[in-house]
Amino acid sequence: MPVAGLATVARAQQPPGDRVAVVSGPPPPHALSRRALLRAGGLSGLVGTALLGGCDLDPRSSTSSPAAPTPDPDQQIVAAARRELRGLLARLSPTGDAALVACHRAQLAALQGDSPPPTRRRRRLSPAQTVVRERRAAERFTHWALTCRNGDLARVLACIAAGIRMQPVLQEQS
Amino acid sequence: MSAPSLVDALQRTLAAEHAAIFVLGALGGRASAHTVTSLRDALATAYDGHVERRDQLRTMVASVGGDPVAAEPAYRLPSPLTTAAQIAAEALRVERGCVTTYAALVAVSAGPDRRWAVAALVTTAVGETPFGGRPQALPGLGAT
Repeated sequence: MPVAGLATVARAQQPPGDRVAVVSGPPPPHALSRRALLRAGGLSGLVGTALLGGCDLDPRSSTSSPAAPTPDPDQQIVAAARRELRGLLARLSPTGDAALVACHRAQLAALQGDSPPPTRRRRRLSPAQTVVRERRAAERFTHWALTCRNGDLARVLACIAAGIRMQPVLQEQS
Repeated sequence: MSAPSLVDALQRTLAAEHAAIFVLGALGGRASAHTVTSLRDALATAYDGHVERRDQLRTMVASVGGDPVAAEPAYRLPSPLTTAAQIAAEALRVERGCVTTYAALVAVSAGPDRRWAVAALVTTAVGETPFGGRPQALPGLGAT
């Protein structure tokens, strides 16, 4: 590495380390930040993007015209993804799995899904069952990210898959 | 503003890999002065992963008709960068930047390219842990 090269970069106006930020930092302008997603009420921004492209991801929306009744497969994926997270939330212990519950609530919010009612009583998962269910969920989200049509939805689903993989319950098993 | 094309996103990801490789290599050099072997091992693992992905990305860019971007002559490192904590923090910043870039690539790709991007996203997000990265619900979607 020539010192001149380093000096050239050192003269740049960027603060330390900003070359990396330039090439790998903020997402492109069309991207949706997590904060923006949550501030906008979950998937609404994503849905807005999809609508511009002629693809409505929100199963509850009423934008489909009578002439085009064919269900969008992405809507089915969004509905299945919400069901997956609600199912996990219903079986996790709010106290013993607090971090995991918070994680899935945030993911569900990103998909503009409502959390299951807290009064609903279902048998809690054992630690071993939790690992199995979480791993399966990560695989499902990965599959959905690979098969959905809308790119922004794919990004959200892929990030959810990565978020599940990051959780200690799966990290300890790997 | 129009969405970036696949080749643009691949080039951006390749540029990120160039930067990550440079910075992680430098961090590895700084870490060699420390006795924290787990940090050195984590840096070596991350470095190897980025080198592998850089090589794959070059092929991917070429396969869609692009001319793979070259690395910059050098990249600025933050200062100070002397303690193990500082080194780990910079490594974490690099990894999180790459995770965001992979997520952006997921959004504009399909088929094998999207599969590659998803795998890179998951692998790199999980690899943040040795650098002190806390588990996130939505890695790659947050403001880094």
